[in-house]
Amino acid sequence: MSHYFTLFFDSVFIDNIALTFFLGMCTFIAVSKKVKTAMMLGIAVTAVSFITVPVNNLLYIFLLRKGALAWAGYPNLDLSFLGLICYIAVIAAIVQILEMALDKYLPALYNALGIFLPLITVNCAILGGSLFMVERDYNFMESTVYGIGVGVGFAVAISLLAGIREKLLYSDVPKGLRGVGVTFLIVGLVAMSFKAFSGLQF
Amino acid sequence: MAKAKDALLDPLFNNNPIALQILGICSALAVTNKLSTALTMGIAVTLVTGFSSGAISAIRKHIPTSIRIIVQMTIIATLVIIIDQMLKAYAYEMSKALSVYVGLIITNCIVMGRAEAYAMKNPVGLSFLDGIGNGLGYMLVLLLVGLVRELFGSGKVFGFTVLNPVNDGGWYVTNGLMLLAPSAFFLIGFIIWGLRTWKPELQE
Amino acid sequence: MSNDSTFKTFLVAFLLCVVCSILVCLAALVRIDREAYNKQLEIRRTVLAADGYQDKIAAGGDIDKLFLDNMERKIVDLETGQYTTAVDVATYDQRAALENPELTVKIPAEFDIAGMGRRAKYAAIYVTKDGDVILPIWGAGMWGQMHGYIALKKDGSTVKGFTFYEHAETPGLGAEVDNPRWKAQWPGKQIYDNSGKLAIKVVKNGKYNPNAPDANSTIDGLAGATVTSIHVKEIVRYWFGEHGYAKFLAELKAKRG
Repeated sequence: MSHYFTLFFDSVFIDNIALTFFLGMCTFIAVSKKVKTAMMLGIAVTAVSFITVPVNNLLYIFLLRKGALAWAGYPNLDLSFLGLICYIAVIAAIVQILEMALDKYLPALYNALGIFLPLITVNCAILGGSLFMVERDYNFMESTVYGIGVGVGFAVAISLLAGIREKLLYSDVPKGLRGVGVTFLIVGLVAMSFKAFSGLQF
Repeated sequence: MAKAKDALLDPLFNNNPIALQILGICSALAVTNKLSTALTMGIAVTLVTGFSSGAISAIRKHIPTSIRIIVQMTIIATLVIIIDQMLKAYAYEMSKALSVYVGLIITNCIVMGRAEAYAMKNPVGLSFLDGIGNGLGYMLVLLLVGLVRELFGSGKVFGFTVLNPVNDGGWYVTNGLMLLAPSAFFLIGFIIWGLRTWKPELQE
Repeated sequence: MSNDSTFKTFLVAFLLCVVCSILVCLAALVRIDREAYNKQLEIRRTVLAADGYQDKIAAGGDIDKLFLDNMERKIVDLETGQYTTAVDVATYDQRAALENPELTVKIPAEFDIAGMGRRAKYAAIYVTKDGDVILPIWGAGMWGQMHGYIALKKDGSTVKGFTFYEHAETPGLGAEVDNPRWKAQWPGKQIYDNSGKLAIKVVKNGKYNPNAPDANSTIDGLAGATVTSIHVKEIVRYWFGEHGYAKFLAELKAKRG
């Protein structure tokens, strides 16, 4: 149990996908003007990564990795080079399915998420989650926990940034720095504060 | 001719994808703690953007709207896999240093953005140039950030010692922050500040 | 024909798939051809570097030739400390073996200081013409696995060299494990003390005292990378402990008399 807790804590705070690995930055900067929308996006990202990372893990273990196709008579076949295209297809498909399912069963949530859902397909945090899962050899349980961790980490980071940016409206920022420029500086400071978690051991 | 020049050069300063459109920052910053990785990444993205824009533009009149996105995605993913495999084959060390970030070019918004915004409406040659131009704009920022980070973080430029660091018996106390993630955000913030002070019409 | 007709949609999708898959497969074929060679070269370079050949390599020496002229690959059964032919000597891949439950053993919790969980039953080691040995070691670092080689003299205790070929430590801090100046501390150090007890350790940076009685088994840690230093210590202490190479090295020493 403690192993999974460590993994979760690691992926949320220490290895935060947005602040340590710079993934999902486009949306991170673009959709962090208001806390409410930022949290919405955070929830959507968590939902998608919670599903896609384990699904891609199954895909990798049973189809792509070396020896995975032994049951079909190809013990030496290594299809991991097809990983990229498979993972992105799975992500696109799951986002699409999720969109349709939400539209039908939870229209309120669907309307609230609006444009964010389709945008998640090209959010590198999601694809990055799957790629790191493969690179670190997680098993199914671990990848489920990691999937949630990636999403929650992203949600925490983007909500934090949105909170700061809301307050920033009242500050007098130099003209050239207004908007995106100062946001980058803030992200840098937030990322630095997250560095304080590094080296924590349980 | 003027149009071709614009397609190629506009994205370098006037419409830089990173500094102004805020696209494709995702996978870029993690690879800028050394110039050599930044350069490789820049070249990879330039090639993918150029060729995917060209290819998509070539078949733009035949792409059904219903599967538009997935067609673009497939072309981009194919190019990225080819680059990834070539790096693994001929630049093994480099491919290890770049780890998952080569694969993440697929979700680099610059590539997708140029395909959707430019290549779907313009002829092959111009689309190709536009793709290369945007890739170069991206590379320019990457190299700038990489130069500062490697010089002050390790005292080196492209692996050659410029400021002899203390750890190697020299005099320069390296700035550890430069090698860590946050410094890239500061540097990009300052680059945007500089660019917008130089060209005030770009201010928000 | 309309672009959005079902037929055209399928036709475009099909043609696109065919073209793309051909391109991807061609690229993969090239890569597969080269990858095995690249990996082998990396191992050979590391083994040679651990054994003190880095200057010759830097001077443009042919890695393959140096390696084949000087190194012999052998497989050690860590349980018995003896050489074994239970697996094919030339092709056994220790890292791939970790995926295979039959080729690994679970590390008892009290021994598992390097946080590995399982280790391979057999280790692929390299023996030089003089009888010195180069041993693979690995374990958890701060951010990810660290893999490396450590070269020992034939007395089974004196370090000849030490190098990692794969790690994900923080650039500028933990990644200084690659710094030649830091690695230069290792040659000459004793893994075991006179009574044969495990003695090698890495202390916090600056705590190294050259006059202490145990100085010849002590390594000064990396500046600003306490966690990485602790991990390096744990990896080395695991691999030279009872559950690692201790038996093999005792055998090696006994054989030399």
